[in-house]
Amino acid sequence: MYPVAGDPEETSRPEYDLHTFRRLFRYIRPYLHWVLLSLLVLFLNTGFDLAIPYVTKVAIDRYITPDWAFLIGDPGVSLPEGSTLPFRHDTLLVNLHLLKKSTVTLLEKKQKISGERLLVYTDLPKEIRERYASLIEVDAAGTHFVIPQSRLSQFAPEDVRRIRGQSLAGVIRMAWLLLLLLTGSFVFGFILAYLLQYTGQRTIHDLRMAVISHILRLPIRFFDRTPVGKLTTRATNDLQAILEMYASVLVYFIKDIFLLFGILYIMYRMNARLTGVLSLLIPFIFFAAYFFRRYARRAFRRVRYHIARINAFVQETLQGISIIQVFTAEKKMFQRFRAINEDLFKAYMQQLYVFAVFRPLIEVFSAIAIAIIIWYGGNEILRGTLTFGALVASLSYIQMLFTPIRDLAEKYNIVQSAMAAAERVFRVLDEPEEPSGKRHLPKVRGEIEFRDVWFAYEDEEWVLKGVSFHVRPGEVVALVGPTGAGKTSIFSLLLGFYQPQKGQVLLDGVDIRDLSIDDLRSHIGMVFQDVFLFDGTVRENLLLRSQVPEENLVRSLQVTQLDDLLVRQNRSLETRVGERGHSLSGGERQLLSFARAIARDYPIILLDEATSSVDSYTEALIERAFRQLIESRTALIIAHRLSTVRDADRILVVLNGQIVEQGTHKELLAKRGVYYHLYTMQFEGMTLRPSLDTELPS
Amino acid sequence: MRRVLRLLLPFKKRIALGILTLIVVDAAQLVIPLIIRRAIDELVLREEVQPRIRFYALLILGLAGVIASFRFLWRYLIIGSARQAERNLRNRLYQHFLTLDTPFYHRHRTGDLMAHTTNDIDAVRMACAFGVVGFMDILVYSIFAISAMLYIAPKLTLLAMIPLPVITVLVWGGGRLIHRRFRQVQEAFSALTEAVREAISGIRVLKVFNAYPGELRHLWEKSWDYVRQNLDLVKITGLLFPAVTFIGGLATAIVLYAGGSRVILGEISLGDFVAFTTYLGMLIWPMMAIGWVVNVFQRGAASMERIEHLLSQKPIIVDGPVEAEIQGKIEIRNLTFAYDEKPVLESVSLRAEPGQRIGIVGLIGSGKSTLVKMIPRILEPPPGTVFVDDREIREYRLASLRGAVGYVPQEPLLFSATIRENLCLGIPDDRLPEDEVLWALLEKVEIADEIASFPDGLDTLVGERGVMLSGGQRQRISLARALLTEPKILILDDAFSAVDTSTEQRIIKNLEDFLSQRTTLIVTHRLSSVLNADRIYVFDGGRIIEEGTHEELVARQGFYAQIYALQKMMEVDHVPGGRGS
Repeated sequence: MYPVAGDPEETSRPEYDLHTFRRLFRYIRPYLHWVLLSLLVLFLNTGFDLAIPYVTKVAIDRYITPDWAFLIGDPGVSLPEGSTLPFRHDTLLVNLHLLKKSTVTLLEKKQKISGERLLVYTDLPKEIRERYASLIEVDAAGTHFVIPQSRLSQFAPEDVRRIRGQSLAGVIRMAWLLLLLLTGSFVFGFILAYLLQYTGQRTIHDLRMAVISHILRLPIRFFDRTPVGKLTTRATNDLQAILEMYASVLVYFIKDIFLLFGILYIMYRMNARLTGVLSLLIPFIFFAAYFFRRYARRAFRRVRYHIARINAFVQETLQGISIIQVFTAEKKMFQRFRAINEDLFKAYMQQLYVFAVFRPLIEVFSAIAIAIIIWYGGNEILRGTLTFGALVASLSYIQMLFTPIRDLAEKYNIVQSAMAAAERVFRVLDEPEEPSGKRHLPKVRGEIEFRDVWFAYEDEEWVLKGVSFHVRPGEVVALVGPTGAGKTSIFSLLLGFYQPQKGQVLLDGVDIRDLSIDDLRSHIGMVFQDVFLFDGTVRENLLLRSQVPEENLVRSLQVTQLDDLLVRQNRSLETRVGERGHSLSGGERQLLSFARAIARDYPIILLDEATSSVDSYTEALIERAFRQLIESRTALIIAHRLSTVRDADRILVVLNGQIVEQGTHKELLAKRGVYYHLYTMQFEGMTLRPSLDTELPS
Repeated sequence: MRRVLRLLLPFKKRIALGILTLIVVDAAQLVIPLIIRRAIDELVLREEVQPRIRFYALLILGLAGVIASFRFLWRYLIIGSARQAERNLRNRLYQHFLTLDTPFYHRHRTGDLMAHTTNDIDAVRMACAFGVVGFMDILVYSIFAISAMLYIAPKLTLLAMIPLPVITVLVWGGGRLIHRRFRQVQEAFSALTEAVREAISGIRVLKVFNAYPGELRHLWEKSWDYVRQNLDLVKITGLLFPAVTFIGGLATAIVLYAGGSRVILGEISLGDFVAFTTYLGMLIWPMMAIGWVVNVFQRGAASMERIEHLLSQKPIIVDGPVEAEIQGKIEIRNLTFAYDEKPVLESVSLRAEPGQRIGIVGLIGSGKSTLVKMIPRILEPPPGTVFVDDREIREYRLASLRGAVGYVPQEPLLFSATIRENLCLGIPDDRLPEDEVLWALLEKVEIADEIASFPDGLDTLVGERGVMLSGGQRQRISLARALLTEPKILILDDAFSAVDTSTEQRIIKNLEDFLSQRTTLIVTHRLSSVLNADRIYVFDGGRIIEEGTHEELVARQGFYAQIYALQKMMEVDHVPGGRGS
């Protein structure tokens, strides 16, 4: 019940993805310099982002925590020059910052390092030395003053400030540095977002124009089998999906990769073992993300499918609301609606489950990482191989690492639908364009010939079966026959919309297949029965946004008297006609259709007379315009009015894809053949609205 | 806003539970920095710390488990409730749509209604789900985080908090700006889509007139306009999010300076400093969220208002008190009707006894369709004008009246379902007829063979608005659909226009028995359809100008006779094989 086209499980095929990427790249190439610039900015932006937590680390390690300790007894290893100071007999002062990590580990293991960290000064103001004599330890030589960190709280604040002035200044410098880095990240972040959107939009704009101009060049046959909405989607929504992939996923994905490796590198440098342990989590995270991606995609598709269903249902039933009400089917329709709505709800709930499981799962991983940092990292600190600053920075980096993972699945979905969209877009681009010959005919006399033309829209269902006729330059020929007899097909072949399977269509003795398709159509004007109007002004509709000499425009308006008509209705050439011509009457639309052809001065005119009724005044206008239109031109007319056939130089009677009779009106009536038979049928039909068209014995 | 929240009322227990779990999640999350703080402080002192650190790590893991499971719970409870509220609201709205009448649908375009229902319901749901979550989250989170920070270092907290409200203002103001620009982007997008759709629809015209260059230029402009609007949008979005990060960072810089100094001075511990920084990082989200939640609420409230406005629309065409078996007598007394100013019908009076066949003829636009639409009250006639069984139609319950009327419109509107579903539109689901009944009916309307030739028979899908079928097939199914309800009054509004004359005659003949027991109104352009009607009304310019049987009318030598003669002349004047239907 109420299905919607499109399989909810439809996926793109990965083997095409690379190929599709390569084709997409071709459109990016003109903007490659912008892309490279984006990458540079991205690199800088990532660099700034990565540096930010490191500033805190430096601040903590270099300025906030003291880095001296007592070294008791013989270290058993050689310590670098300048890293130690003599203190008392078997005790040295050691600056842990200047030692290799392995050395510190070794010393910690042998329990040679005091637990407490120390502040060491070669010089302290005298009044401080005196005031806190009991808190300050002095070495044997009396040149170094040592304050254990824990005793600092017994100092007066202003004295601490004096003692640690250098550290405080360092922290201020670090804060400024942080601000600088933040500004950099901010500026480059903005530039990056703008650049991405800019290059993405330019690329997609180019691709869109390529797609549109290609679509417009596709053969009519293609449009016969492809719904307008689908094609429109190719040039709009599908391209949008690709853009989204570029601007919000692809490049940021590169950034995420940079970040990932950057973070791993920095953490590796800070402490390789801790990083190694944390890395063990990565496969689990990817595993979880992989499963999530699968379920999320399925859930996402299901939701989209049901949304489409519900929209289609609502639209259709609201449009047909009066029928539903007359049939008192409201209850029934509501039940249908409720069922679909329930399906949608269930799909949403499934999506909810997927997200409600994944997001917290990632939180758990994140918490595990924190626990590892505290436990393993804490031990590393005790071992002397990790500083406090590094531990704090690790906590920040891990958070940073998990942010992109959190919306990994969402990004994957975007890529998926973009790839599927790109594939569809390229499939349209791969459709062959309308066939066109090479020959150019700058001017034609207007001679038309069909030579034993056989034509079928599909397989062997012949619409034209060996049609032959010849139209001399300047001749007016009326085509007559029931709907489906093949009259319209004759026009379509002449215009090169389709190619005959057998036989030839000739213009001035040249097979139209050899002619450039644009050339061919520049000689043939067509007046449609159903006038298609674009959303635009009267002028745009008349000229179809192309260049026509001003005098031609003026003449076409005069001949059709559209100028008078417009003036009388307080309208002008610049009046918008509205979507599908809501504000023009049927008669006016026909006149506009005439004016389109007249403005271009075609040597050959094809005219499908309109069937809809118009008032007698407009009818007279149309009649007049019609005469002007066919004057001194070759004209082929699918005729609906008696005056047309009477005045035609010749009538071709088309029946079941063949021309069964031809001659003038009088000749044909006298012949008492098919034409006459059709005629009397019509007479007996007694219809107020003539509708002989519908059925005829074949 | 209260209206939005009222939607959640049925789920108040679940939501309360959800909020409770949310509080647990937030609290647990905010404990973690405290644990880190303790761990660091003990590491600084380096005394017997190893077992305790292991304990802290395990504690964090335990908390993570609690957070994860409660987080799942609140998502399920709150967002699930919002989804239910959304579903219920959508049901309610659609149910209401079904009660609204033709005048309403004349005033509102389907597209607009659809857009309102999708976008507005979405906005309301967002307000329900993330509004509630966001609000509670902000409240609990900020209160807890700020008190923890105050506990650690009161002055520092105040200092660090200075830039944070800027985030709120930024997100709130930026969000509004983004929303506006985003709408412009969407408008440009739909303009582009419409232009492309139009170019493709008019492809034949473009090809015939070689009008590609102009059209491509036109489309280029539309596409470029879309590009420009997008770039305008990204100027805001691209600025906003880095700006939020920047200001959050600014607070961190303040803490690094002021907090770092305090550690150096021994006023707070290193652990305090780390916990403080962590809390600050955690506060950035709620600060953003305030701005966001305000927007979500505002949008939700505005949408809810629009939805309530739709829900408050009352149909003019409403039930009357009378429930009765209708026999089929129709009387129209001096009916004048206008859509706007110009009357479409003027002083029309008409009678049909039960079982009679009435012809209604006239030129296009003479008001015939308008008139017959009043009988099942698709349109509402003025009081005291339309009577069925000597009772004014508005006195009947709509179901009584409409149940007795079979209506076959000019445009045979089918729904994209199976042929069976379409045929049974007027039959309640618990009284669906047997296949044989359907086939017999399809026989009568001369379409059984065609449907039998479809691979799926009665279960063939007819496509959107019946596009898979020809106009004639649709008309005949539409006729069968009306016949299946066994109406006492049958209205055929030009119901055979796409069916050829001989098939029409055969159908009428097949239905002779059926029609003899019904009052039938035949609106038509084909005089052959009404030749043997009990009475024919001739319409011109909204008035009945003549009435009588065919013979009487011809004899009268009036307008009908003229049309009749004109018709004959037009037949003569008309080329065979000419006009299509």
